[in-house]
Amino acid sequence: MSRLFLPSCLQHSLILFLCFLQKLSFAFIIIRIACLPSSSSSSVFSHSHLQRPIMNTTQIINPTRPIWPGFSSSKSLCGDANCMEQLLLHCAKAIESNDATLAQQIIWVLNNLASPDGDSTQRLASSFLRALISRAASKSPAFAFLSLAATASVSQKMLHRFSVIELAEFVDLTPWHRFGFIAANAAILDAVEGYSSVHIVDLSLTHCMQIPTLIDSMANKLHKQPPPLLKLTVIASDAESHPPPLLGISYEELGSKLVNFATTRNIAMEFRIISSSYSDGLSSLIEQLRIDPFVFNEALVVNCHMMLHYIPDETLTSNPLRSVLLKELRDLNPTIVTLIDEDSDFTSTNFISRLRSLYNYMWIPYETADMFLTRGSEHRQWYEADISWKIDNIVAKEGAERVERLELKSRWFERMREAKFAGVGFGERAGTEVKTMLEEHATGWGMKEDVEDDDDVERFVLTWKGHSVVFASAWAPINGVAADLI
Amino acid sequence: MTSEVLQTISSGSGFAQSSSTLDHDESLINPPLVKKKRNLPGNPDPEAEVIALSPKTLMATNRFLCEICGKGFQRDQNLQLHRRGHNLPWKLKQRTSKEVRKRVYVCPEKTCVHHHSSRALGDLTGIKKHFCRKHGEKKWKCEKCAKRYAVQSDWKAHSKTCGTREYRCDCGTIFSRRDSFITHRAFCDALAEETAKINAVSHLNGLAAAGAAGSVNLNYQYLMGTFIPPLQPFVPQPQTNQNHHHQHFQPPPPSSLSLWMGQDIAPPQPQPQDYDWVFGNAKAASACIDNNNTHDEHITQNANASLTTTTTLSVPSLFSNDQPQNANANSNVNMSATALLQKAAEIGVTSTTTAATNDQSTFLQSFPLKSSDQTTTYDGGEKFFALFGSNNNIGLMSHSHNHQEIENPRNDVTVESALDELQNYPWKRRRVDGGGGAGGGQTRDFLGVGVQTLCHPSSINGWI
Repeated sequence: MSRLFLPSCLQHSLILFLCFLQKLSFAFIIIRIACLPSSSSSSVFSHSHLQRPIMNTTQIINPTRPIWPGFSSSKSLCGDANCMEQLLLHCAKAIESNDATLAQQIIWVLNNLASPDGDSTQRLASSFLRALISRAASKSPAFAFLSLAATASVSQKMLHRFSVIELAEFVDLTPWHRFGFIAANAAILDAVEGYSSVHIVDLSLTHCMQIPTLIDSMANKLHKQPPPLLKLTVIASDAESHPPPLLGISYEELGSKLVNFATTRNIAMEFRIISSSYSDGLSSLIEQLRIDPFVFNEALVVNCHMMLHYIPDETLTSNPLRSVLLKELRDLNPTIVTLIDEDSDFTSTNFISRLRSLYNYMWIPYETADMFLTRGSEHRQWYEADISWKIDNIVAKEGAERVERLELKSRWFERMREAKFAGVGFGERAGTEVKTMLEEHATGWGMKEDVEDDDDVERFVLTWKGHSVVFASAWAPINGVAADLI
Repeated sequence: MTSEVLQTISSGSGFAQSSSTLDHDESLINPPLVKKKRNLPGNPDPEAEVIALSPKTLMATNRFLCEICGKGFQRDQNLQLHRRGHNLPWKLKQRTSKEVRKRVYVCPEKTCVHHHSSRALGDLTGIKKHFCRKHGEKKWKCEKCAKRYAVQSDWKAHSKTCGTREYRCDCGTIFSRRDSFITHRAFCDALAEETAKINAVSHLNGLAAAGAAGSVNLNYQYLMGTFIPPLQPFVPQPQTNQNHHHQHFQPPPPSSLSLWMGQDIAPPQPQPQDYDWVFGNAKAASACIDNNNTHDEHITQNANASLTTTTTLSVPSLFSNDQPQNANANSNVNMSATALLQKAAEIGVTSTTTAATNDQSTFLQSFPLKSSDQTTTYDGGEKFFALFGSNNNIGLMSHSHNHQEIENPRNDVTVESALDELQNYPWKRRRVDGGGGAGGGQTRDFLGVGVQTLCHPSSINGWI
C-alpha cells in the first residue's frame, strides 16, 4: 500500500486530523469521502454532484460541511507548495495503480485544500486536481464515481476567444511572450539587414502579436536604405485543436490589419495563410516553401514561438517529426531561425515524473498571476483557463490528444545542431532591451544569459525568481549560402 | 491504512527541519544531492549553509545599538567604528580563518515557496527584500498610479519612471511601454478609421491629375498582356506605389518578365527591383489581382483594396514632407483607361517640361530609397536594364495594339494618345537617342544624378 508522505513540520496538525479519522469507522470515512464537501461555491464538485450517492455502500450524511471543527482554514493544514505537490503525486500514483479508495481519500483532502479562489498554490492544486479527476474518470471503471466531477474539466469551448485588441493586451500582461518577441525581433533585424525582401514564416502561439513591433523596428531602423518588402506567412491549423489563446477573428482579417499597419509605416507587405498541421510536422508548409519561386536577395526568416512543441516527438511517433522539420527548414537555407519555447520537460512517458515536472513548472504562471492580476478579474480568468487547459492536456490526455510535449532547451538545441544549424548570439542591445522591459514588470522576473559548453553562444532565458521559464535562441544554417551569392 | 498514514518520513525534497520561530537559528541541513548545476539562481549549492532567520530578525533594521547614544546600526562593524567616537573600547571582528561556506537563506514564511532549502535564496539582502515584498505590508504607494510597494527602494525606482513616458492611442488607451502601444495600435480600429479618412481626402486630390503615372500604369498593363483597370479606391502614394509594384511583381515573376520580353526569353532573375524601377510607376495599379492561383492565397494589399474600400491607404498627412505633387501625379483613381489617356494627353501637351519634371520628381520620389539602393549595389545590372528598357519600349511600341502610349518620364517624353503612337514613334526614338543625360546615355543617367538627390528617406519615415 502506498504511504502518505508528509513533511514533518505538518506532522502535528495532520496527526490530529488523522486521529479523527481513526476514531470513526471505516465506513464512516468512506461516507465523508463520498460527500466531497465543497469549500467554496466554485470548487470542483458542485452541489448537484453531491446529491447523488457516489458509492453503493454509502449514504450521504452531510454533504455540505466537513465535520472536523478545526478545519476552517485549509492553509493551516497543508497550505504550502511542497505538501500540495506530495498530495497530488500520491493521488496520481493511486490513480495509476487503480487504487480507487486511496485516490478518493486524497481527492477529498485535496478538494478541501485546493480552491480556484485561493492563493496561487491553491489555484494550482485546484487545476491539477481537476485534471487528475478527468484522467481517472476516463482511465478505468474503478473511477466511475468521478465521472460527474470530471465534466467540470476544461474544454475547448470554455476558452475565451480573444479579439485582436484583447490579445494585444493579453500578451503584455507578463513578460512571458514579450521576452521572446524582443529577443527574436532583435535577432531578425540584425540578420535581414541588406536584404530587399524579407519573408517571415511566423509559427507563433500568439497569432502574429510579435509582428507589429517588428514592422515598427524595420521602419525605424533602416534609414539609409529603403525598407524591404515584407512577406508574412502564417499557418492555419485545425481550429478545434488549437491551443490557447484562441483568436476570435479570422486570419484574413488579422492579416489585412497588419498589412494596413505596415503601409502606414511605409513598408510594403504581403500576407499569406497556409493550411498546415503541427501533428504531421508541418509537411504542407514545407511543401509550399519548397515550391515558392526564388526571389533574389530575399531573406527567409522562420520564427518559432512556442509552437514547435506541438509537433509530435519520439514519445508519440517513431517518426522523428521534429528533427525532420528542422532538417527540411535547413534545406530551405533560411537566413535565421528563431526558436523560443518554454523550458521544461513534459515528454516523459512515466506519468508521475511528468506530473512532477509539470507541477514544478506550472507554479510559475499561477504565482505570477498573483502579482499582476487581481482576483476575479476577467484577465485572470482567461489566463488561468489557458493554463488549466495546458495542465489538463498534459495530465488527462494521452496519445495524439496530448499535444503539450515540451522538451528541455538542451534537447531542442541538440536537434538544431543535428539539423546543421549553428547558434547565433543576440547581442548586447537585445539584452538591454529585455532587461529594461523586465523592470516594468514584477520584481521576480529576470533574465539570465546562458552559454552552453557546446557552442559558446549566449542564449537568453527568462527567469522567475531564478527558475527558468522561457528560453530564446537564434540559429543560422552552418555554412549557409547567402542568398545573394547564388 | 491510517497507521501507515501517520508515519511521516521526510521525502527526497529536503525540507527545512529547523523551526522558524527561534531567533537567529542556524541549521545545517544537507539538501538532497540533486544533479543540478551549481550556483545558478534558484539552484542552490547543495553544500551551502542554510540559514533560517526569524521575521523579526529579517525586518530589523538596526540590530546593533550604541549604549551611549542609542544610535542603531545594521552591522556590527559599523557599531564598532561608531564606538571609537565615544572613546569606548572597540574591536573589529576578523574574518574567520576557516573556509567560508556559502550561505543561503530561507524565507521564514511557512507558506512561501522559498521556505524550503531547495528553493533558498543566496543573498541576505535578497531574502530581506523578498520577505518584505511578498509577505510584508505594502506601505509605499505611488502617487500617480495605483501601484503599491513594500520596499522603499522599489517604490523610489518606480516613481522615477512612472508617467514619464506615455503613449496615447487615438482610441484613448494609454500605454506606459512602447511595445504594447505599437502592438495595440497595429490592430486598433482607430488606425483603420484614420487611414480611411486620409484615403478619402487624397482620393479627391488624386482625381485631378492622373497624369503620366496613369498612362505609364496603363502602358505596363499592356505590356503585361492583360488590361486591368485601375482599382477603385486605390490612391497610390509614392510609398504605396512602391508597395504595389512589389506586390505585383513577386507573385508571378516568370510570367511577367516573359511577357515583357516576348515570352520566350527567360527572365533575368536577379534584378526584379531594377525591373520595377525602370517602369517606374508602371505597375502601381496594374495586375493587382493575383493571377497566380496555383498554390496559395495571396492577400495583397490591392486585393484587399478591391474588396474593401477602407484597407488601402495613403497617409500623406502622417508624413511631414510635402507630397502633394506625388499625390497628384501618381494617383490613379477610379478612371477608365481611355479617360486617363485623354487626361494625360491634355496634360502632356500643355506642360511637357513641367510634367516631366513633376514626373521626374515624383517618379524619383516614389522610389527614392529603392533606387538609391540600386545605384550602390546593382550598377551593372541597371545599365543593362536601362538599355533593355528603353530599347524594349521602342520595340514593343512597334507591336502596339493601339492602346496606350509609352511614357518615359526621364526622357521628357510626353504623353500622347494611342492613335498618335506610331506617328510619334520616330520622334520618340529621336528623343531617346538625343536625350543626352536622361535617355541617350541609357545607362548612368537613367539611374543618375537626379535619383540620389531626390531621396527623402526621412520624410517617409515620418511617423512617430
